[in-house]
Amino acid sequence: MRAIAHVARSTFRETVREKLLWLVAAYGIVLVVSTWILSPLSVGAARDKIVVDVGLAGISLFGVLTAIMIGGALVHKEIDKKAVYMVLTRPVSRGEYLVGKFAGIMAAISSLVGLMAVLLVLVMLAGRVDLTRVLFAAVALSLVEIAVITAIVVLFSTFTTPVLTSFFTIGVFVAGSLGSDLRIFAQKFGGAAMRRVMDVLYFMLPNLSIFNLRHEAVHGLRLTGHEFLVSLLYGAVYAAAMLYFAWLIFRRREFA
Amino acid sequence: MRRLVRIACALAALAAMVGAARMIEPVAEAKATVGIAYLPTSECARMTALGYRELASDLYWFKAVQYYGGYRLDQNDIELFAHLADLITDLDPQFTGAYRLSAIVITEDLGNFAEAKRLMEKGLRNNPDDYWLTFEMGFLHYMGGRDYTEAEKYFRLAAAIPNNDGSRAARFAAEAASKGGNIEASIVLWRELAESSDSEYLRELAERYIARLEKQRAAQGGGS
Amino acid sequence: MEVLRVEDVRKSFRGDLSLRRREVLHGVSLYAAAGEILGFLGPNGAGKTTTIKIILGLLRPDSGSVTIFGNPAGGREAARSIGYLPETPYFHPHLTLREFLGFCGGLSGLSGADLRRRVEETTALVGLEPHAGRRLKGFSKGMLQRAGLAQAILHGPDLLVLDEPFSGLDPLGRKMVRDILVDLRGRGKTIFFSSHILPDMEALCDRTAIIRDGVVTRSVTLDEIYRLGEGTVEITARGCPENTAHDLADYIESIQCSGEETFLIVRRQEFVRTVIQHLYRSGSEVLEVATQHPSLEDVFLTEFSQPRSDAEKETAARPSVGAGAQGRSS
Repeated sequence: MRAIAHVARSTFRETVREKLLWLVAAYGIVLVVSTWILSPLSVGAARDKIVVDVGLAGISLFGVLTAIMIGGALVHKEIDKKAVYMVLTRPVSRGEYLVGKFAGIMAAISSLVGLMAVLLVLVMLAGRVDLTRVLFAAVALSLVEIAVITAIVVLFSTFTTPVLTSFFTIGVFVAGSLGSDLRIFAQKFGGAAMRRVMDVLYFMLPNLSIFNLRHEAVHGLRLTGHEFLVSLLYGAVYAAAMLYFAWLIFRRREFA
Repeated sequence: MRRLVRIACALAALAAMVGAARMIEPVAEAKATVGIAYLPTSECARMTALGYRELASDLYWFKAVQYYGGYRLDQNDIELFAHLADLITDLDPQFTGAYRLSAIVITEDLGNFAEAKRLMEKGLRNNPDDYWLTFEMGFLHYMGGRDYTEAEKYFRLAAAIPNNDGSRAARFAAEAASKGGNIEASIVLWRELAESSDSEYLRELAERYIARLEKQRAAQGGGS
Repeated sequence: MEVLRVEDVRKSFRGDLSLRRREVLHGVSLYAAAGEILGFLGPNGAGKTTTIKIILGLLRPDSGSVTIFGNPAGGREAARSIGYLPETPYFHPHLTLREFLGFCGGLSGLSGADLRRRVEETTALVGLEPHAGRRLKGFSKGMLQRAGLAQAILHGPDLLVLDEPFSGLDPLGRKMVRDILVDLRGRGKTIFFSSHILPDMEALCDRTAIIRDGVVTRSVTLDEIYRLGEGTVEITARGCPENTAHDLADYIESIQCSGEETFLIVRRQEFVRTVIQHLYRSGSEVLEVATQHPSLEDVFLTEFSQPRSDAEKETAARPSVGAGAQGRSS
């Protein structure tokens, strides 16, 4: 347990020192621009909508992209450059190492998301846009989505290069965001084989649309506690499964 | 000396960039306007937007505003406005502002009430308790469709929606019931809608249509 | 007590593109006792690093066993007793030295004030005190090497496994490492290190295992080296007449003149007196008489100038090779 905390803390430090705070600054700028410059261009139809749309989409995109960029590079670079020897020759199991890496990356990205959320709230308050509970739920589930993506990144980086890790993860992100659409498409138009394949893919790929509360947040729709918890649980199960598969691969890994 | 040369080269590079951009300006503009003609289907747009449909709807709305602006400046027509409105509201069915302004433009500027009615019906299906959508539905039936029975129905529905300015809706209902239809009444209703509406742009549109009606009235010899 | 035992370890790798496996270690056996410095010597590609990685659990052997204090290599118990310095170390560049050592120490089970104290002590021991707060990104090769040694000894492991510990260090640095290793041995720690720098190895090691083509072919102590051949004697004289070489041909191996001085290598100990008497009679002045022992380098070069005999290969296949003479040399 302590080993996980150590690996996590070291990973957190390394991640943060990639100067990610600039991303938060960029996010802030985008928010301000869209609120005060773009919003009037909507001629009143989308005044409040724009801020929340840009704000939540920004948090989601920045978070997911950061996970993909950072995760792929970090784990692989460590293995490639033998820094991982320092850890694995100590009384630390392969599993503890992976969980620690995951926790460290998530801690760093969560801090970023937290800062961005604060910025969003400030901009909304300044623009006199209503704050709702659903808004915070949307940010929370965005974070769960990011955790799922991070777990996938960790899995890929145990056996493939950073570039491929990024590509594969982006592919999974796109497919997962389409949610049920592809499956429905296949069911309508595909042959039996195609439908089977789509079914398998549907269950293997994460259904990321379940973490998307942006619509509900923008229009102030209701969300039940049950729905929220179910989504949370799904995310936790999926991320855990990804980390487990990563461990299965990593524990057999040899460092020639 | 070498430093000056380097600065000069850097400036030359920047100038070249600007020049190149100028050079492709006509081509780029043509592409931009053509862009409107090649709107994706709602299905396509929904899939491409991944989980960011609401944001995509906002971006298409900006396009719509630009498109309408071009029309007002006589740069282009707005034949595709209805399609664009459909796309926007398919991406975000709760984007009530888009329904409202689009339906008015489609009715008054495109002269296509049937299309506007279809759009508003979609809006009401997705937002059944929205006061302004219901109210405007009545308004459009009155102004564009000249269907005073339907207009009255919607005004009464709007009046019944809690926490809203039911009195105004009731008044409009009464006007519709009296089977108005004269220009004077229309002008009055437009003015009231403009005053009470929460959309300042709608006020601008209202001014425009009122001006048009006044011209009509003048042409008719000022009579009812 | 045996600290490290490597028993008949075989390891093969599959090449990148080929499907065939290539055996790199053909049955490596060696052991290290407590309080001993065991050197590991061999040409490039002999399998030194592979053997070391198997000891550390970074690679799994195809067959054979490795135990550390009786615990299987690669396990948590074994890892607790080991400190490792890799060849050309690379550490997280964004961490400061202090953070890095804190991280390593924490992973090894240290915590709190104890951890802080050890970090400070070790940092001072390797001479990196002024750089404790600097990011590792800015460290030179020599500094990184010292930092690597620091993280290896930080938690006081009973077995140190060092891959080329002297590389990248200037003479002062090498002396520092030598002193540290000797001190650790004095405290009962066991050190197993590989190096190309033979003089250091000769000076430090109680025993040296020589690996060749994936097998440990010999394990020698310094005593054994000395006994490998009778020592030759080098005599330095001045004012030798020209026919000295001819007169002493039966007794000397070689003779070299450099300015006024002449260096004679006497073939055997028992000829020394004869040679000296002759020099005096011919009017030369004897300046110095020095005994030369074969060195580790001689052993190394001899070993590798001959092809491995079949007998040797057979011996190598048996697990008992590598368990050479026991005990420390004086």
